[in-house]
Amino acid sequence: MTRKRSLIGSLTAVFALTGILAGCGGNNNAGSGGAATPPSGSAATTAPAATAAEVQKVNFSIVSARPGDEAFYKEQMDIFMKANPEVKVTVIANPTEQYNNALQLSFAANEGPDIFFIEGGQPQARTVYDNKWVEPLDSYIDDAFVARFPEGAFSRTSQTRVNGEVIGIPVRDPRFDKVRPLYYNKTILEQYGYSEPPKTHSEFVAAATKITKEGKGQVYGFAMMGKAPAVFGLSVSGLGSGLEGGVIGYEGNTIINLKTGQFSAKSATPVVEILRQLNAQKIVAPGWENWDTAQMHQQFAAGRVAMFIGAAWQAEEIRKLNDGMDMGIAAAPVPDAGRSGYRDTPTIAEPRYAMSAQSKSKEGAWKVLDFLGSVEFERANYEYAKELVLMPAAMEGIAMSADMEQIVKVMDETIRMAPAVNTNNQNYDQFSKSISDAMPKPKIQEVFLKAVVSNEDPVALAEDYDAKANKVIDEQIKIANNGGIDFSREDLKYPDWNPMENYIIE
Amino acid sequence: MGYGTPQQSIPASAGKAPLSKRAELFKQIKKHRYHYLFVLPMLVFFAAFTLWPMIASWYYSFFNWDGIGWPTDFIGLGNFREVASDPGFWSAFMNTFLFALTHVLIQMPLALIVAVILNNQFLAGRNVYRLLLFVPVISTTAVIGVIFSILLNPLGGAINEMLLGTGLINEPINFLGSTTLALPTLLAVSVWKSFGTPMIYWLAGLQTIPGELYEAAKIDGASKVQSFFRITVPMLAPIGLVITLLTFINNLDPFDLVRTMTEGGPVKATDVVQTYIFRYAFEPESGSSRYGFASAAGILFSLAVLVVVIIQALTGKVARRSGTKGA
Repeated sequence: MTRKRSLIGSLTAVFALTGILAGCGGNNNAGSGGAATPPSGSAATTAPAATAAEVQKVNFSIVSARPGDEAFYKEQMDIFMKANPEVKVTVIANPTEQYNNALQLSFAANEGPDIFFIEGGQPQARTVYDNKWVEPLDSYIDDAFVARFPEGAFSRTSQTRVNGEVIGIPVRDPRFDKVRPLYYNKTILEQYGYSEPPKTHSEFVAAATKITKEGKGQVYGFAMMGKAPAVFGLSVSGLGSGLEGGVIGYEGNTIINLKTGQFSAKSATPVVEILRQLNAQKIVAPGWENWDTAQMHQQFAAGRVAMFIGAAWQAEEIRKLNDGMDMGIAAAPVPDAGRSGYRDTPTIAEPRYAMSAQSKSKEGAWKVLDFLGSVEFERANYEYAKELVLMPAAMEGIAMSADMEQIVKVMDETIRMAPAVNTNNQNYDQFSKSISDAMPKPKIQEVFLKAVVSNEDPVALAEDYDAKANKVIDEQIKIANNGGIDFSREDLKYPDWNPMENYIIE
Repeated sequence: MGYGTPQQSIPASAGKAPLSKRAELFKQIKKHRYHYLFVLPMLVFFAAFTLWPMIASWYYSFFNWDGIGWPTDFIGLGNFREVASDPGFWSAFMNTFLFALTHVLIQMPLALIVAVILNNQFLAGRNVYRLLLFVPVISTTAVIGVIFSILLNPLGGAINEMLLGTGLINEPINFLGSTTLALPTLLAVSVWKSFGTPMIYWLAGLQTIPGELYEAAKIDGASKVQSFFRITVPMLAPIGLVITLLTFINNLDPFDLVRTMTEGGPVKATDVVQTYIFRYAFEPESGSSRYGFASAAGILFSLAVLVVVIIQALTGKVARRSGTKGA
């Protein structure tokens, strides 16, 4: 018995030693422990003195996606605390990949922060709401607060609401992530006789063909990124933004016609067919099938590619490689018959900062949120992060690069608010992941990519896929219904929606 | 008695009552406590970073789990059924085995021929050739993958530029963007990269063959080809089985090369099981990770590998037995 105790004791000592050694080398920033006992120096400490009885302590959990994020938020909280000495804010930073896990652990231990980032878009917004982590903000916000933001930011169709309740304060303009502009090399286009970028699909095909054929292997008219279906989807959604109105999700794996409530990959096939023809005729730069964004930036910056369709953030990356190039940014070409729809965004605002339902300092937490929803903070955020914010006033007077100005123009020209799949019935969120996971494999973007690479008829492939995908949706709705979730196909239909206008329901 | 001093065993009939098995075990543990102590850190890390993930992946494979929080959505064999019905998995599965088989069927014989040449003691600079052939083995695979991607690029890549410049081709070859060329290109790079390993194994094997056998064969009038097939090959057969097994197993995981050169593309033409698993676990197309599904794919693959290894081991055993009988 003594021997047994001795052995167990020895093992315990070794484990403890291992733990201590591991702790010495680890990052002491993580998790709920940080929330309960923040590391020395993690709190913004320059607030004027206030008596202990008056001070409300607020823990603010942020995502540290870039090296300067934590310092930026500490600096902003210092500014806030100077004006609000009765609130002491402690910033707790976690890297993006650890953030949601750390948040989950802290709430599970009843040590959730008073204010936290909602990181992960609409699915995470739904998760924090369903887990009852968020304090609905409807009773805090008033008309004056709402008036600071653009129309629709807190509307019924805005993603700042879940189940009709406001769950967070927005900051950035989500359209920046959605826009799919046409990047073009002005010098090359002019060299081949084009004074402006193509505006229609026919003009686009003609220009790409002419440049490639006359370029004789030195310059190509068009290129795509085909290394992964997701990046290939940028070309489909960009060229497809003017296609049949009422269809959403050209870039993703759930392409839904919200007029009919049906999965409709077929509606994207005119664009896929254009890409297939261009590839079959060897108009697209060779090797594009293996290009990711970095390779596209290199080839475009080197002047070997005249045009491509990409994301807004790529402008800055191209400038890093060739600051002096004569790069143009324009709306992607639309069908020859004219625009029938827009690139869809279900919301003009996404919730970023939320108040915890567990917070014991809700008054202080709201003061911080009020600050985070101010023009001053959005202005500081715009200057620091260089990402477009929601309040135009916050960007006034700050010089915007020519590229960014063009991107904003393209955003205004090509994006409109559309209903989200869950707008009619938010019960959809409870099984949307099941639908996405159960979609036939290979997923639709991969099917499109294969059609282009292997020169197959996209219409036949899309029709086949639509039939299978609609069957999956019916099955998943049935499973959801059997599980007590109220939802029907009718909830996917928006017959009164005019796709040529913003869809906002106050 | 000092540590490490040999001890004589005490026969049970020495008058003392025999110790119980448990007491004997603790006695042995106490006697070898320093061995255990020194081995313990390795055991802890092995348990934490190898054993536990293996056990956990079995557990996770029965859940629909995105990696956040604890898995709660138990779905039984649902993930296994989904993996088994996905043609993409089986395509990746075939590609993975093709990698291993190519190394066994092409790389190993080539390496044997080169090893026989380099085993010639009269060959000048043979150590330099050995070194040059072994350098790719110790080079980082990811770096090699990136460099070859640049070299093979149809738009400005050095290899295409050279071929175009010499007039051998009229238009660039789409090595990594073609669904028919991408996999053979990867296999060629992989064979080149790891060529030195079986070559060293063969060299080690060749050096165990007594030179007298070749001398005797020469006196008997055997040609070099006859010596190779009648002496070298039979003498290398036992070690050849081990090299086959090692080559097969080592090349079942081409993740780093595939990841850096094609990421499994174009349109999954070069997808292997490891990139397939990686995609579902860490780069999900649906937006959220599917650790349970990825775990099920990993387990299915490991079971398949296990079957192959057992077949290979049994084949080796039978071959050895028949060899013994023949002797």
